[in-house]
Amino acid sequence: MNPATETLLRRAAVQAVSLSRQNVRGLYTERRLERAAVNASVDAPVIHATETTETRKTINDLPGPDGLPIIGTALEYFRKPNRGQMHEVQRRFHAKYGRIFKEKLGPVTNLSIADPKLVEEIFRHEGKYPNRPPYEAWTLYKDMRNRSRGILSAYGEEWWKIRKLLNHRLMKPRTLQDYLTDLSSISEKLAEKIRVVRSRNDQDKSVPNILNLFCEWSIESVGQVIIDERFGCLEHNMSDEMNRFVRAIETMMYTSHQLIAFTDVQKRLNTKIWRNFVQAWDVIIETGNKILDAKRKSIEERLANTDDTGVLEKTTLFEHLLSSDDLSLEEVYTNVSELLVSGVDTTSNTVAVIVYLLSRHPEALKKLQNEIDGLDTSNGFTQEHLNKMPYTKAVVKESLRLFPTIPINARVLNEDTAVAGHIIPKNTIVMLNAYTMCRDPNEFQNPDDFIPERWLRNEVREFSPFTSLPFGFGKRSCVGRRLAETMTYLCIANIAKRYDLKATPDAFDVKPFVRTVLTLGDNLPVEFYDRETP
Amino acid sequence: MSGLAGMRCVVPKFAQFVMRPMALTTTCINRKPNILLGARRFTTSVSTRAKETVSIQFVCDDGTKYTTNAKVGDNLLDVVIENDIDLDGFGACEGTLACSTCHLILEQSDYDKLPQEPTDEELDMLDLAYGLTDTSRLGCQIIVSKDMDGLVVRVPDGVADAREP
Repeated sequence: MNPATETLLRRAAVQAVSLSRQNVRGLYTERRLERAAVNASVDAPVIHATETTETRKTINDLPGPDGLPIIGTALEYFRKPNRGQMHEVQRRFHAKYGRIFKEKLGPVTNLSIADPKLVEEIFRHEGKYPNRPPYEAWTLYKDMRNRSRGILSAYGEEWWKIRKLLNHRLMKPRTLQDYLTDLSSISEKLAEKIRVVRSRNDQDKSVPNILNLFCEWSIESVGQVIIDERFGCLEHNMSDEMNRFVRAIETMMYTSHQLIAFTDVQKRLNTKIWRNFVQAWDVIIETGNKILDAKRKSIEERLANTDDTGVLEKTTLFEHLLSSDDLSLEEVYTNVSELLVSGVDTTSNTVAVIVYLLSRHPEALKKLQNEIDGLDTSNGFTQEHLNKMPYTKAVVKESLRLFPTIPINARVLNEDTAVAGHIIPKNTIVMLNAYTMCRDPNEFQNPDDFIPERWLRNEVREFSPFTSLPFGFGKRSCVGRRLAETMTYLCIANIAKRYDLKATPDAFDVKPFVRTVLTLGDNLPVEFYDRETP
Repeated sequence: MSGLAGMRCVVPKFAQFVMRPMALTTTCINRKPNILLGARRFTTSVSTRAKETVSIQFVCDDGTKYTTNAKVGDNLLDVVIENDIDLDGFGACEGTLACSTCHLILEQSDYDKLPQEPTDEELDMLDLAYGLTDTSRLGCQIIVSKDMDGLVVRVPDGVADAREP
């Protein structure tokens, strides 16, 4: 068949599928939306509706769990089997109340959405300064310590000021090319260190506390790009200081999630969780300041030794921020530390998930290895190599679909907005339940199966692209996306190049839990067998 | 916009940090003194050489047409900004491939002539574009070249606000 005909047939197939699926899935969404549309308000911006003035439904008319007086459903998340399982609790609520529901958590009422069409509308109308709700614990801590908010929890103009500066150094497609050689060699070091750590285990060929190793790799990689610093985590045993730093990041992420409800109450009661949280942040800031002070000193020395031309030829992101008129020194420090913090737990857990899934799917691992083996990467990976790794990229996408690192994204509405015909007041937090949508059988065939092929460009895609957005979408999407993706491809490729991954004999099914990021825990039931060098 | 793309930094700024101790819990220094910078502040990253321009037309779905002077080497998002074309929501992420609001539709023949095929990153964003077609591209990824003189591109309605009736 000639390729043009093939494309035409394929396109026709997609249309046919999407039409037939609309008839099935549409029953829920379309009809509900149409019905809701009739009731929308005149004043509020309307999402998914044409407006009339018949009635004004509010957020209170939406279904949702009743919960208890005053505290709402908060206790649900504190119950033992539900701890760290917010994504599953939300998924169960969606199963019961539908693709959109309201939920009272203490004094606030949140909206939860697991409908790609509504998610799309929310993203398309998020305006000039999209706002993601910060962890209240973070803002309370920062106020307490008199520090600025930083990229993760800032909003409005303050957020954009920082984001703009970071965008040009982190998000432009070609900006990371300068770092590829370094990033590739850090991933190689990780792959080599796996062998060393594995040898400490005399039971089988798994790697004890492998997440720790991935954390070392991620902090090394992020540090390289942001401040041009190698911490030496992969060279030898991590220094006590760096070890403390990484542990503190872990604790901070974990306790932030535990503090998600009744934060100020917990602060006032000075609970153990709050104390651990504060202590962890203090360590992060102290260590961060120490690293950055040292870095600044070396920059000063470097400057003293250069001609006074006024321009540095190659600058790091840290120097770029230091030279900006718009940020105070404290803001520079805060933001650089936050970038380090947010780059570590996220990428390391992403890689852990992929390694786990590949060990359970030898056929996918084989395909990925064939793709890598077909490239001459003896001198490390280059951009050209990355452009020729469609299967590796599909594996990453599929892994993030099954285990999205951030299982629930969120936005704060900047104005009164009609969502699916209900007027949702300004400042309402809207939870975008990626985890629920990513496993929705109406979107994905065999949603719980690992099928990287569904992401290949020559395959017919039936699902909405708004289901799986591991990095978010738009202005406020993950600022480290480009870096995280590059790091992940390099890491997976370097591991697959050297090892066959297999499930351990006593293989256990992992139970993912949320500590801000979705994690499979410190250990993986994965064995690393050396491959024959081709 | 395009001026910001250069990635060198001004050195004298560092001078103000020399010898300044950093306390653990820094109180916010909102504005750094600019006195030190004064006349010495400059950048050298942007070439001042005048660029050659070609004519490119943007046609909106409501029929409005904008004819622009597009500098060779700029991307089409730069062109929209430099020519002060007011397209609501266009290029929200400022050309960082984080959104799809600079979505443009080309004629098949023009599309085929573009020297660079879309990268994986662009394709990922195009998937999320409203009203995607086979000849869609993101404006921020199309670099203006000399042979583009007279090019006509369509600006689809997608970014238009669905809040309006």
